[in-house]
Amino acid sequence: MKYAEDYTLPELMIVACAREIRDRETVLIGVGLPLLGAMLAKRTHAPNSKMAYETGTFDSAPTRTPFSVVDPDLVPRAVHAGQLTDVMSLYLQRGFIDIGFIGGAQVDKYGNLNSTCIGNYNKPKVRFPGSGGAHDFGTFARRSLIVMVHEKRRFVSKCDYITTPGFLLGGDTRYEAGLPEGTGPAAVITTTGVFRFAADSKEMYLDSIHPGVTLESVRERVDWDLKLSPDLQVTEHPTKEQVCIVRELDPDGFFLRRAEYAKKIHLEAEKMGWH
Amino acid sequence: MTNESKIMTMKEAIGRFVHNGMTVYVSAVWANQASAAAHEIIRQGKKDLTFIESSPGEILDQMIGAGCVKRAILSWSANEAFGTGYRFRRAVEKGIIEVEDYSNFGLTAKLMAGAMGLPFMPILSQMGSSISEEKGFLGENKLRHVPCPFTGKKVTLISGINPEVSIIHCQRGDKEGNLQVWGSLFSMKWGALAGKTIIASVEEIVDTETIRRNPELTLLPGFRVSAVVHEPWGAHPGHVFGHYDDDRWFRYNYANFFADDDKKFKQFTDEWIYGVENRSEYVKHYIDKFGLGRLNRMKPKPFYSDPINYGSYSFDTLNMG
Repeated sequence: MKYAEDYTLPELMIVACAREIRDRETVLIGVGLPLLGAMLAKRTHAPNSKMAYETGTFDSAPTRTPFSVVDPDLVPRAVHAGQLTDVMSLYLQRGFIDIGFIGGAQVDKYGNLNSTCIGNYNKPKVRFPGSGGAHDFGTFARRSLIVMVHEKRRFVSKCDYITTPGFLLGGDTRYEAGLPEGTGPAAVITTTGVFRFAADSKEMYLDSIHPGVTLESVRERVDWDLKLSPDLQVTEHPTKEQVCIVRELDPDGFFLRRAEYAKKIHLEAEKMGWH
Repeated sequence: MTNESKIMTMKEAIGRFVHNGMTVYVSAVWANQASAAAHEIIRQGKKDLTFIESSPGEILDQMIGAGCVKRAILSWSANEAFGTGYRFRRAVEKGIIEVEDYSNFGLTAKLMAGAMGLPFMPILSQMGSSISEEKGFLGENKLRHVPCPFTGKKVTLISGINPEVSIIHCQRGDKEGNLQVWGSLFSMKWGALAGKTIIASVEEIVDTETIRRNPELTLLPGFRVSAVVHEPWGAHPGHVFGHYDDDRWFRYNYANFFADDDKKFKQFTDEWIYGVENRSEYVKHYIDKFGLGRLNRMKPKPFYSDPINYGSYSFDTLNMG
């Protein structure tokens, strides 16, 4: 049996991220699960994919799983260690990056993303970290891939702030606003399923639903009348090999077992009389 | 004049060059972050600073928590992959600090324009977003969209900036302030060069001959630099390529167990910032508390690049006659 029987939801999402990457593609990555997805892709079906980081590093060969884009292990043995403007202008703005992974706190039905604030910008109710490179990835990458936890408050009819433009108001409005042709969100990978965007209207639809999730519970968590793919599938299970590699990539649980990781850190600090 | 030493203590450098109300760039994206300088700014109780950096981590969080910052121009701030930047977040939500948001590229283009002496930098992002619609304290001076004079297509112009002081941390420098760095630089080159006055801390002071043997590693020549501070472990708990790794354990502790709570934050700053006189005392405190082994474990094994051959030239090699 090729498929794994025992896996977690984050592991399924990581595998879904990996499956979006084709061999030989250039991929820009931020923090979190997509980092593991890209590493998994490289170790399985996309060995010639090239990872770029906004720190300025291109085609790294890390010996450990980087905790984020600024991990120093991304530099030794990389093909290029440059600076932010190298990656952002020479590769990304010129249109040479295939995939950009981004996250956010809110997404709307045209794939516009908010990672800045809830409420008024100048006096927000909640402030999030902000764009980082996400806005630029979402502007210039041929396919931007959005990775999010699926909750009702996150799938909104209108974002409080558009940090990263998706298809704006649908149709051709993205391109009319000056964004480059042939770019835009390609998929939203969530805790309930994988969503994609209709070719003409650019409206988000459910493309595959994760095993064990009901359609009703997906609809409940969307603040608009969600359309479904006529060919709606159940998300492909991860294979045994994929799950095995993902676990190898996160040996101490930094990505996938946060509570356990935090406890370990706390106990050690307590032992040293720091907490 | 050119041979005059610019080496001084951090206390002296911050005291002389950083004043209340100034706009300050501090390299704060973990690689070569200027932690020692930020802590000295906090110790000297500087106020009302406008802080600019693309994606600052705990340095900004701590400077905000200590009351040094009034305004921040940035694209992102958190305690990186380790946790929310609670001091930053609360200060924005409570209206204690004002923020102006760009994307990472937009923000770095702003510094690049300043560094090159240009009034603005044209780029093709920031369109179709609230970054372009919502203005903070920079108002209409934040950015503009104009038609390209050649093609008529929409272009974004990001206004340039020249911080009064730029502060960076480098692997090495000489007494004249010639500074060398390696690794991935994020926004640091443009952040440093945009500054009117530049302060640098370095892991190592070297002689000018060492600089001259590796001219491609030079980030900026000494004539632009006002102060050089010898500050080993000056980026801790961030990393410096070839010197030390990230202190993930320390960093995770700050983000998850100290930043969120007022009392715990005070405990942290009392211990690691106000409780020490300077960076060497900070390092001594670290060793006393956690042991020398814990510090030394962060030093990576060497991984050398190959020496390259620049060639040595003379009249003879010109191949005349």
